[in-house]
Amino acid sequence: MASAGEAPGGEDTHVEKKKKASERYWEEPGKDGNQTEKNDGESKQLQHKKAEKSRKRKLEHKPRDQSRGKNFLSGKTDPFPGPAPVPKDRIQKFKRKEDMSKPRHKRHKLRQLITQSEDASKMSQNQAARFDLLLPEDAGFLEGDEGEDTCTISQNDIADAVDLASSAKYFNLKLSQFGPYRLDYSKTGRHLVLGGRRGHIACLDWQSKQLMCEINVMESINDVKWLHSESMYAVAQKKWLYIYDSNGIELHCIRKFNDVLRMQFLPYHFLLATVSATSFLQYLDVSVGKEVAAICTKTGRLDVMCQNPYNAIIHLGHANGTVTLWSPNQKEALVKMLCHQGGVRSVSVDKTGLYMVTSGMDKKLKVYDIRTFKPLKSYFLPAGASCLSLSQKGLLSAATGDIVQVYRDVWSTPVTKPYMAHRVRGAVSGLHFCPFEDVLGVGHGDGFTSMLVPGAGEPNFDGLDANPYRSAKQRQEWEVKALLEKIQPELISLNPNKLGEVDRATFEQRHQDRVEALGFDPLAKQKFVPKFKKKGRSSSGAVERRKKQVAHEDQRELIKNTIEQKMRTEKEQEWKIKESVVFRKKSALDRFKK
Amino acid sequence: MPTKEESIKAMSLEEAKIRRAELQKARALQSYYEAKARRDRKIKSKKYRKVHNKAKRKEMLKQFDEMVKTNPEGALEELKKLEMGRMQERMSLKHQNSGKWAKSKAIMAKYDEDARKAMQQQLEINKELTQKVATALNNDEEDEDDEEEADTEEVLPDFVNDVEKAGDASNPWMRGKLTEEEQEKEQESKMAEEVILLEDEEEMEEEVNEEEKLLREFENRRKQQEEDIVDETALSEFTSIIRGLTQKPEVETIVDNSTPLEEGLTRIQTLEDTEKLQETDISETAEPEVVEIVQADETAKETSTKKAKKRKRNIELKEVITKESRVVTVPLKVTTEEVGEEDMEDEMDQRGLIKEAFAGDDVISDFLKEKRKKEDAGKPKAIDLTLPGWGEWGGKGLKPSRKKRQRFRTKPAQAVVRKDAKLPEVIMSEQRDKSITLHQVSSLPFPFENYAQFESTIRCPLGRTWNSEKTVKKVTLPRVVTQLGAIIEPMGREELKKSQQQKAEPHTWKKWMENNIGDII
Repeated sequence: MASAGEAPGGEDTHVEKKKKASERYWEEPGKDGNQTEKNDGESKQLQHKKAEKSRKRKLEHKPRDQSRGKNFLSGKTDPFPGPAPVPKDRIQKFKRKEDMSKPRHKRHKLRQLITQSEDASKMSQNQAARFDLLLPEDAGFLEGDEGEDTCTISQNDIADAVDLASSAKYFNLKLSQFGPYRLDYSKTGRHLVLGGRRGHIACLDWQSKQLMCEINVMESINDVKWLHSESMYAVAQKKWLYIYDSNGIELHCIRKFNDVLRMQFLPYHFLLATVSATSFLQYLDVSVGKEVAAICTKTGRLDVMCQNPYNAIIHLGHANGTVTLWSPNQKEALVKMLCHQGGVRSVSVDKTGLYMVTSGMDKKLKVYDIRTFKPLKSYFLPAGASCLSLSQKGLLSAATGDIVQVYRDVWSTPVTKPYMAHRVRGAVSGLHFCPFEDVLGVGHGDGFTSMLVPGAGEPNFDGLDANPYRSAKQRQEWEVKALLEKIQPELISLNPNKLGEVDRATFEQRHQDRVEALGFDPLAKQKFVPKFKKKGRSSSGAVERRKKQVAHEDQRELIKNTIEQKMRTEKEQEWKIKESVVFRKKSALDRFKK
Repeated sequence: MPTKEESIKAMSLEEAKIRRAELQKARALQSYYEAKARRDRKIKSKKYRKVHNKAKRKEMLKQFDEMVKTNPEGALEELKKLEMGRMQERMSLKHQNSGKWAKSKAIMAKYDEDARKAMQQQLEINKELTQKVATALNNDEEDEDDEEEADTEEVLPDFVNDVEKAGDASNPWMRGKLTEEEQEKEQESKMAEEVILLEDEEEMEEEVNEEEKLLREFENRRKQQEEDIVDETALSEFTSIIRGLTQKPEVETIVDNSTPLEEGLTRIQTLEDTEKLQETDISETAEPEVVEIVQADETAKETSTKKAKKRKRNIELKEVITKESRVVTVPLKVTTEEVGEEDMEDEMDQRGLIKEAFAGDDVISDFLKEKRKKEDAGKPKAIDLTLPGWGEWGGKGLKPSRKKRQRFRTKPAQAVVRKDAKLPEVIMSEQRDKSITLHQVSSLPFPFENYAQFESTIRCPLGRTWNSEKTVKKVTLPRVVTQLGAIIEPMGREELKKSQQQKAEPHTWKKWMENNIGDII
């Protein structure tokens, strides 16, 4: 996408002969070459390139000004010529797959394609590594004094110590009338929706404490969830699923979704996944308002659910200690793993899609590697954990009764103590880390508590994806773009990179799929139907005769060939025998034959 | 029939006479019965039909009461049928004066006596059909608790005491079995292992046996009736002759063979007789049972080997599940009970609660069972195309030879190693995800030699979401860039010549990029 102004220049260079830069006295050709080599070349001069033709080349830009490194008016030299080097480990971070080895034979087209893609990927990798510098924020953490456990530091102490803006993020909402509360933060982390079991719903911009709406639906509420933006949220009420807007106006009552207990929203697919007391897992496409899939899991009441943000797979926990993984494309569980001896109480998957944490009735907390489905760590919590939540930075919060504990690094290092602990006023019923903030929202029997958890949120946000500071206009823009980039539900699978793979299914398999989809076999041989002939020539006998003429045509050919082959071999053998008889030397003993 | 004649020749004259009389009787009986049935069938009178049906119904009820004592299992079955009929009647609007005919009659009813009567009758029928059948068996079931167990022993079938199969398997209270009779234990002790493993199969067999018994019972009853119907006075001659026959059992056997009609004609008068009948039935069906047992033995062996494997795996799984876990200490003590949970439990039904409470007990075995089932379902099976009787003798009790079976048995393809073969606590679905295949590249594009090459060339996303702006621009750079509105002249001869010259000195993409990139970006 070059700008139009530059294009003619490009054309010119294409047609005309390249101008050779005049040689300068200060340039030592060898040295210059070395420098560019070291820099992993963002730029290089052309005449040197030609000299280096035999070496492996990389994509470079021709600098706009021909001279480089020197050309200051003051006459001083640039001590660090060329672009700044990027550390190798950072480049490694952005690597996608290994490079391919090029074919050994001369295959120009193939070689060209491979080098082209390799160059592109290398450039993108380098650029990404270079721009990694623009993410300056680091996650903080809590550090106790010597001999002091961080878990003994109270929230009040933290709130006193931090700056005013942060300390305002620690607060309690006393809502003892309609609890216990479920909660959800919007994708940007700016907005909060609270749903009390006894029908109370409140939406608020929790940072400014500005109330957007507050209603009572006069029905029990099982769960609340924001949809793609903060303008709409879904509420699972006693019987049906409802969708309200941020002013508390009921937009939809979806009667296809009944007895919903838990919900998850898949932001890039615009899918609202719900599980119900009737053991149905249903997917609602909120962009078009269509039910994408309804799967009967046949596992009883479903009230433990989470999503894997990496591949949009839904994880369900069951009373028989198993965790099952579901996609909308398959009627049976993709994976079923036995995690606990008792029922599963809560499941959570981390942002990178590497780890799954489960807690069960057997009072255990287990960490699994969800790519290999192998257990990594197992902890015993004295009272078990009823709710789990993982933060963007991988902190784990677990609630036992009225105590909220936060753990750090549960998968890499064995943990014996929580990182933080806090007692809330009632039994915890909902836990959620706020995205991009060091805040943990706790819904409990006595209302809502916003806790400070240093190091929980991702410090660097992507302004184009989830911008906490976006205006209404920006939100609208984003909504349009997000809808354009919506991923279809068919693409949900355990391996999200599957789209980049070639379908290795055999021809038979593919054909079978096609037959299934079409309802008939398009390649099936058409049955011979004799033409209708007039003047009594289509009597049934004649028709049968005509049919006989074409019957088993494919087999006939085969039989004919085999018979011919047989005849030939027989003849040859006969000939051989004859030959042997004729040309054999007569021995003296032949006279005794007969 | 030459054989018959021969046999008659061999007999003495008297014997032959008796024999002939006997045969005549049989034939006469048959013809009487057939004629009567034909006549009956042709009767069109509604009234007759009504009376007939009523009588039939009464008869059936009477029989049923009898059957409660003699054959409680059959009676239960019958009762179920009756219940079903009642249910259907209750559900349907057949006799409720809501049909077209009834409506028309309703209009007429005011003036017409007959119409009124007809409607009344309809309603009566409905009432009759929807009445509950009060029988001894029903009562037995109701006040089962009151009666002594010893009393019920004879009357009640065994399966009344059996545990309900439909009950929740996970409910531990429902899984217990009542104590069984000693006799049954003896019988079952032979197949002790199989019983446990092949419970399902056995249930099926039992059901089949019961059905067979019932059928036989009915047949016998029907024959009995036939005999009753026949006018005995007309047949006194025959009967007097036959009476003499009973003294010679040898002849009887011959008779039995020759006349199929009389085969099952022995009157069943006492309870013992019915028992005997059942015994003979059992002896007849004994052979196939033996075969089944043999098969069961084979499967038992297989399962026992499997069991060992299973046990081994079970241990593994247990190890995995009850892996040493680190105890985490929390500085604060929990003070409140989980109120929220209790709230939820209100909605949970009793069964769910029990299930949850006892979940830990059979979780592992259940899981293993399921996994094994999935594994077995995925294994390709051998197809046996042997046709018995082709190329050798066939018939009851004869099996196709081993050689033949081997010849016509297609070997199963080797089972594909499951994805979860090495993960004891995981079941992975082996289904192919068809939905994504529509979007995937289905065959290798032209210059590529293998999948890896192609996949590596498309590994890098091109979009703005994943790349810096500069990269996107470069990667999506068009081959030729022209200024908007610039006139592009058609190619002349010179251009052609030029391109030929260039061909001699190949002009690669890379070279072109080198030349132009700086100008473009």
